[in-house]
Parts: sequence; C-alpha cells; structure tokens
Amino acid sequence: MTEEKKDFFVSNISLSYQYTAGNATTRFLNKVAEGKLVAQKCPKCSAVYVPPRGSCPRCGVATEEELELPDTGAVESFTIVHIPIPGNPIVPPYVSAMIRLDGADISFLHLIQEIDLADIRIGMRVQAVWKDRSEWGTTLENIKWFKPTGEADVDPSVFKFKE
Amino acid sequence: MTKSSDKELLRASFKLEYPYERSPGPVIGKFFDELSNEVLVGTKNSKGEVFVPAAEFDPKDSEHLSEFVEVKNEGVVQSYTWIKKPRAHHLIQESFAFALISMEGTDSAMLHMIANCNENELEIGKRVKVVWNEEKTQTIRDIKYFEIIDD
Ligand SMILES: [Zn+2]
Repeated sequence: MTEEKKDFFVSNISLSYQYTAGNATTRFLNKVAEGKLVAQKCPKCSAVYVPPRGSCPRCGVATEEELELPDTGAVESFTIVHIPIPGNPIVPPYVSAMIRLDGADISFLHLIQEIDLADIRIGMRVQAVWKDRSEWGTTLENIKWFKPTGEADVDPSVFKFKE
Repeated sequence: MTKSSDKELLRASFKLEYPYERSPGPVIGKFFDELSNEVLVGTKNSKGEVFVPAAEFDPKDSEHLSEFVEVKNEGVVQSYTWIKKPRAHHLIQESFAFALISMEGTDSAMLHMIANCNENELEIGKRVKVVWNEEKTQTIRDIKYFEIIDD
C-alpha cells in the first residue's frame, strides 16, 4: 500500500449535440463564407437584423428582404475578461463586446483587439479584421476580431431600438 | 459547418463542456489510491459493518468512519440494467450491464459494469469478480468491469 494520495481529479461534465442552422442562419453563414455580412429587414417595422434569424421577434413576421451591411460598426456594450476559461485559447485580459454594425438594429458578440484596454468605451467605432481569405468557412470566426477605426465615437442614443 | 444533403441547411457538431475538478477527500481518496494497487478497501463502522466503496460516514447513523479494511475482489449482483446497444460515450462498446454489486463480506453495494457475458447469463445473485484495467488512473476506472465467476 502506498501513502501517495491523489488530491484532485478531472471529471468534466459534457454534452455533445448537433446544431442545425436553419434557413436564415444558413443563408447568413453562406454569405459570411464570401466575406459578406448580410442582414434581413422586417417588412413591417423595417428593423434590420444581423445575424438574421428569419423573422422579426417584435412583429412576428418573416424577414425575407436581405441587405448587405459594411463590416464597420460601434461598441454597444463590452466586458473586459480577466479570468481564463479552461479550454479557451484566448489569453486574458481581452475584450468581449456587443458590436452594432452600421445599419443594423441589433448587435452581436465578438472580440475587440489591437486596443489599449483603458481606451475601450461604449460608442467606439470599430471595423472587422478578417482572417486570410484561404481560411474562410461558414463561420463568424472568419472575422478574427474587431479593431478601433480611430473615427469619432457615435452617440450611444443611436443604440436605442427603433420604436 | 457541413451542408446536409437534403435541404442544404448547415449543420455542425458541438460539445458543451464544463471543466470540473473533484476532490475525493481522505477516505474515497484512499479507496481510489488502493484501486491503482489492485486492492479494494472499505470502511468499517463500530457495529462491524463494512462499506465498499469506502464511505466517510455511515449512511444510516452518520458515524464518522476511519477504519479501513481490505476486501476480496469478488461480489454478488444485487440488481442490474442491461445495455443492449451502448452509446458512443459508454466505456464498453459491446452489450454490457450497469450493476449494483455487493462485494463479499460487505454491507453495501457499488455501481459498476459487468461485461463479457450474454444477457441470459446474468441474474441477481450471480457471483462476479473484478477485471482490472492495465492502465491505472486512481479513479473508479481502474476497475475495467466485472465478469461472471464460472462455478
Ligand atoms: Zn418587425
């Protein structure tokens, strides 16, 4: 018998699952694979959704009209992450932000890099930094991160959802 | 993401995983530690009852248990569930049973697997013995599975 004791052991809790993107997200990601960010517009309230989900949650109608948006936008909200998440290759501290693309009425989560952490603020103008074209696939990871453009900030009141 | 052939929708496999580290403590820790030596230990209460896997407290009256006893690596099937078609995450990829096994001379049962047998060979009361895993990890997996003792 040995006196050696094992103090901790790894016992991960995991769930494997299959994700089906659906029509709207499939169309969106197929365009992302070409380097385009294509939103959908509500025929009733004219809200522009990116990434699109195929319907307007406010009006309950299908969103079929598509429009391409630029890869520039502004920071609607952000978090500076200081605590490493096991399995996440990104080394803290880094910025996770809700990015509102120009012309969109909702924001999505992405990274902001090439920035001094002290400078990050709501309303800051940012632009996508794309991976090399040879690495593009049907994923938003085609965008490595967003970086500041150096333009004047936008007024945060523009983030208010259209009435 | 890959395109499915039927509707041209994108699909992808994902794995959601929470990293989790467990501290087994001094008693279960000792139990796991001894498994890697191919030894099964239990704990004994003041009435002389033995619990395998080693319990830190008596499940009936919460007595703090610290006396270790070594037990034989044979036991009796108390109940079982036959897994006809194992899923991908199961450790055994042929039909097997999850079973509650009461080790010889003990007053408790432990959950493990019984393999290398057919469904019709297995029944409650059947005697089984430990098959050790060659590679030891100081976890319950050091017992590969149990198999039926041929009388
Ligand atoms: Zn609408």
